[in-house]
Amino acid sequence: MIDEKCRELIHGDLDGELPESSRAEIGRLLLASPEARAYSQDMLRVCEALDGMPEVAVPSGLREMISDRVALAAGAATGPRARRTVGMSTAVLRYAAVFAGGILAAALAFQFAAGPQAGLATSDLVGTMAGLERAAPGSPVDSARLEQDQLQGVVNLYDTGSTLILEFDLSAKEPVDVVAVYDGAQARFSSTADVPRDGQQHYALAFASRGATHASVALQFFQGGVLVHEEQLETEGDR
Amino acid sequence: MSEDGDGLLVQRCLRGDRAAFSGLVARYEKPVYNTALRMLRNPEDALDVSQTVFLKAFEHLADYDPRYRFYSWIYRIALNESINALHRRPPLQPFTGDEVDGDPGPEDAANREQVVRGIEDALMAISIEYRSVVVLKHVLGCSYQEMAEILGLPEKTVKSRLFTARQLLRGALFDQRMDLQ
Repeated sequence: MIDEKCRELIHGDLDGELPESSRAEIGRLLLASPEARAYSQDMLRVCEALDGMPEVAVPSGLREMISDRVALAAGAATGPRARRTVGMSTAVLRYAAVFAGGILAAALAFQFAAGPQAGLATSDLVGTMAGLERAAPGSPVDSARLEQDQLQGVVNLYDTGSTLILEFDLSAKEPVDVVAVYDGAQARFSSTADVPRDGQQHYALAFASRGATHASVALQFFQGGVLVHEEQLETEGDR
Repeated sequence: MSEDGDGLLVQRCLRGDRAAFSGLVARYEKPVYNTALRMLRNPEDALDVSQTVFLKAFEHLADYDPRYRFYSWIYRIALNESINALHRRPPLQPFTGDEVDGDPGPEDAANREQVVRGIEDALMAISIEYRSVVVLKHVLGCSYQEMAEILGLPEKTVKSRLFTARQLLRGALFDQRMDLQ
C-alpha cells in the first residue's frame, strides 16, 4: 500500500504537473519501492488508455441545429416580428433606399464571412446587375414590415427555385447596415449614399439556393453599430 | 484555444453580432460534444446536450465573467448539462464508435475497439463525480488548476478525485479482464 504523498507524486509525474523540486524525490521513491513502481505502471496504463480514447467527430448538422435554436431563442426574446427600438438621436440625414427594381448599386459593400460554414462565393451571388423583375416574378413568399421611428419599410423574400432574392424598400434617418444569413453564409452590406426620401435607387440581394428544403434567411439591421432590428424570412414548407 | 479570440467573440455577441456566436460554436462544438458523449455514452443524448449547452451559453452570455476563461465557463455548462441529462434518464445505448475521427488503420482495430469499449464501460461504472474529473483531464486535457476552476472545487479535492477515479478505473478494467498493455 502506498501512502498519499507517494500517490500524489506518481500522479503528478504522470500528469506532467510535478514541480521540478519533486523530480528527484519521485525518482528515488520509484527506485526504492517495487510497490510504487507497480502502482506507477498501473496508473500509466490507465492514463494511456484514457488518453487514447478517440476524439469523436461532431455529427453533421449540429452547428445548424444550434444556430436554429439560438435564432429561435433570440426570436422568443424579442417576439415574432418584434421591434427592438434603440434610442436614437434625431438624425439630420435622411436615407431612403428603395429596393425594387434590379440594380445592386455601388453604394453597397459586401463582406462575406470566412469559415467552414460560411463560404459564400462570389458566384453564389446573382442578380447583381440583372433585372429583379425577371429574376423574381410573382409574389414574395414572405415579407416583413419595419415600422420603427428610425427605420421603416418592407423587406420581401422571393423564391425562384434556384435563387432566393431579398428585396428591400426602406427609409431610414441614418445609414443602415444589413446582415443577411442564409444556410451558414453571411452577406453584409451598408447603405452609404445619402438618398432623397423619394429617391428610386434600387438594390437587390440574392443567394444561390442550396437544396430543396425549407429555407430561412435571418436579417439584422444596424445603425451606428447598434442592432436596431432583426427579422427572419422563410419559404413555405419544402421547396 | 485563443482566450483573446474568445473574449472578442463574446464582446461582439453581446453587441448583437450573432455571427460571432457562430464563431464560438465552431471553436467549442467538438470538445463540448465529446464531453457530453463521454459523460453520457449516448450519441443522441450528447447531441441534445450540446445544443442545450450552446443555447444556455447564448442566453446567459451577459452573465459570463470575463475574468475567467471562456472555455472554463462553457465546459462547466457542458458538464452540468451532462449531469442533468444523466439524472433525467439512463443511457439508452452504447456508443458504437462508428463516428470516430480519422482512420485507425486495419491492424488491431478489433483489439482497439475492445479496449475503447472496455474503458467506456469502466467510465460508466464509476460515479458522476469521478467521471467528471476523468473527462476534464483526459478528454478536455485540463490542468489541475483548470479542473478546479471549472468544478468550483479546491485543487486538492480535484486531484484526490482524479487519482481515486484512476484507481477505480483500474479496478473496473481488471474486473473486465482488460489487458491494457
